[in-house]
Amino acid sequence: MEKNSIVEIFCGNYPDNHITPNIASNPNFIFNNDPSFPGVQLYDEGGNVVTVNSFTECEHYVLGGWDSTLYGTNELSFYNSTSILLALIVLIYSLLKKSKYL
Amino acid sequence: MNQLISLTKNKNFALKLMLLLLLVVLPWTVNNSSDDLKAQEITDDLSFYQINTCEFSLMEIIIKNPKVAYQKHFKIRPNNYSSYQCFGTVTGIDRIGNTFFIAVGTNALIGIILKSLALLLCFSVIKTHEGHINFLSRKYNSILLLSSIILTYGIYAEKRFYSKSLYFLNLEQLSSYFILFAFIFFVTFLCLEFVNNRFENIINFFPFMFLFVAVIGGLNLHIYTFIFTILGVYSLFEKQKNIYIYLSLLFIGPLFWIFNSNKFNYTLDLDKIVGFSSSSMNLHSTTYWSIIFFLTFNGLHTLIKKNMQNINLELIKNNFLISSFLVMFFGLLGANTTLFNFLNFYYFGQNKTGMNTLDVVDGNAWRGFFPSAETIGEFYGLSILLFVFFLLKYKNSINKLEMLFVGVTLFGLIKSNNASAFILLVIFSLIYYVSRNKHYQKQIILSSGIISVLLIIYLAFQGSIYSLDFTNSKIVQDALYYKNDYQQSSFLTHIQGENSQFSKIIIGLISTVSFYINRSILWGLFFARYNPSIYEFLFGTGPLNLSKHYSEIGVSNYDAVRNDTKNFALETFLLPHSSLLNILLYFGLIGVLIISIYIFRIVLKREYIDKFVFYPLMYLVINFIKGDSILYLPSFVLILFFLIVANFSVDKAKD
Repeated sequence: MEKNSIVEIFCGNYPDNHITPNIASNPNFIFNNDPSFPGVQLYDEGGNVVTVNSFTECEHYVLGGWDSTLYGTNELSFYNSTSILLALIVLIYSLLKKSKYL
Repeated sequence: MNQLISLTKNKNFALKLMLLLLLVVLPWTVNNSSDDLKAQEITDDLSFYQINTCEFSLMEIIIKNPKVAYQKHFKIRPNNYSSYQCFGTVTGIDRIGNTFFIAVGTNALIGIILKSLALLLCFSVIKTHEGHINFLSRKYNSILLLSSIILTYGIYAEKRFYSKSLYFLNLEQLSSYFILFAFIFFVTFLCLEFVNNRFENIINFFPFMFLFVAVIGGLNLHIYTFIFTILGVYSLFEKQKNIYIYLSLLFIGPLFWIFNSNKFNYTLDLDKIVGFSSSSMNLHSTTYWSIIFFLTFNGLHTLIKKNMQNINLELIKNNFLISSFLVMFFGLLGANTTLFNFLNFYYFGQNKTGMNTLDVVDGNAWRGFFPSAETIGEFYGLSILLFVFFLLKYKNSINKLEMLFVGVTLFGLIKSNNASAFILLVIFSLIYYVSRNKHYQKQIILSSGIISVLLIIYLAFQGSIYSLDFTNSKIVQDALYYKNDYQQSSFLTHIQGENSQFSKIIIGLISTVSFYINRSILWGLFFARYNPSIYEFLFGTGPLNLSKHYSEIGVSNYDAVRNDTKNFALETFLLPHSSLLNILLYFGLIGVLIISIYIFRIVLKREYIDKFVFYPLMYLVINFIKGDSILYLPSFVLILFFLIVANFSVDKAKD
């Protein structure tokens, strides 16, 4: 079984002998609560929130793109992209100024 | 005035103005709702806006509800804790009593870029020159990098404060600081480019700090903090360092403050002093604010030192008048228009939203645009004082524009209800007049003396002069009255049991002065809270940190004897109302003594100092004792400017 590092960050370590069920092929699949699993809150891009109560459920949502931070994916990627953009602006300005274009 | 009008002839002025207008209008306009959802009229039923958050831009709401822009029962408030997706949109509308609060998304990280661009665009009309430091030289890059690192460290140092406004970042993770560093690096770069190309001219425009306060919403930072950090770091690379400043500011105090703070973890809701005060007291925040204080002081010192020959007092006087006029103008605009009240807050970077009424508060004062009525009153008074000095010296006729500016500034001074600023304005104008008219000197001094004696006799008959026994103990009585029942501050315990005659005289003097300047309750409250160890009393707990003072010992507003409240607004954030007491907190008794000796030296050597610098400095020093000017960056820079210029004049004469 291949371990996913993002799943481990959000859901904790993979339990021993864990097998990822094929949920897509079973429309009636029901996640069973795991009392030993501390509930984890996950968010999607639209700001929807879900509390997952087992490692399997948590793994399923995280692999589906859910995040542990509110607006996490969108919000963080916005700041990451903006950071790169700001750095580029400084770089381009510096190059132009050094080349006496400014 | 011609010097200022010439600013508008700056190249690309029209383009800059256009860009500025876009920066003011676009953020509140572009983030519109989808086609199938239209803004509705705001009524008692707010469910529509509570369901559809972040859907409508502020402009859409105002177009649908024009009354929001001007009616007093609407209040537009920035929501710094919103997602970037909600920037410029209405994130919620609530009703409390008859007032509707409209929250507008103003994300802190977008704000840092937007505000710095708007501010630097305004200041870009200042004349440029060849870069002071070679662009991208080793020195340039070191300043850029070091300043950015220090400012990013500030966020780490005050994690608890930032965890609210930067909730989308996990401040325990290093990766979050890379994002923050990128934003801070960008603004530092903008500020460095601005300072580097205007190094010789910016000092004359410092009075505009009272108009462009430049606090970044959601962050405990001024945009000027970037500029002073840059200047401070620049001063580190200078060959001629001021050894005394380095010794006293870098090595002696901070070591004690940092080690001492390690045992505390106090926090403070900064309210109106946000931007220039620490929000917590622990090892990192004390280290960070010690560095920032040192860099600000040394940065300004270096800027003035390098530009003594460029200081133009007439231009500074004009800038004082113009900024006073504009502070009043925008204050009045904000007081009458809800929309401008919000835009003032956002773009001018106010610490606290301006007043939305012309009425005074609690029979006290109208602060208008600025967070403190007392401090802005001092500023108005100083603007008029400088104007009077120039008028008396050059005997020029007053033009209509000056008349308008002085009239509006005087109106501001009256509304601020700062009696001491007004009295000092009259006294220093008179002193200057006497110093210039030698042949009337005796008559003027004699008549002033007679008027003063008559005034004292009048006050005595009015019953306004009290016995020394009463005034000498008033401050201790007030401190005891407001202390809580279960814990007493170490300082109050000490002065209660004090038998030394010298200490009694000092406390009695402070108490009597505080009584006659209406400070006995506020200073009494200070002593009720002041709880230093012996070393903290001597060295202080570090600059710009009130967290321990306000968190360690509480005061009580409940009178058990009367079974009622003590009728003083203790639930509000009451500042000490004395910068000298703040200095006692920050730097201890040694700090107070050093600063007193420094000022005493200036008074002794006053003949070497230009009267246009010395008298304003004395005006500010007297106000400094009874005001909180050290807690606001603009007023701190104001007094520091006159202090440093006076000191350089003395040093120059000595050489």
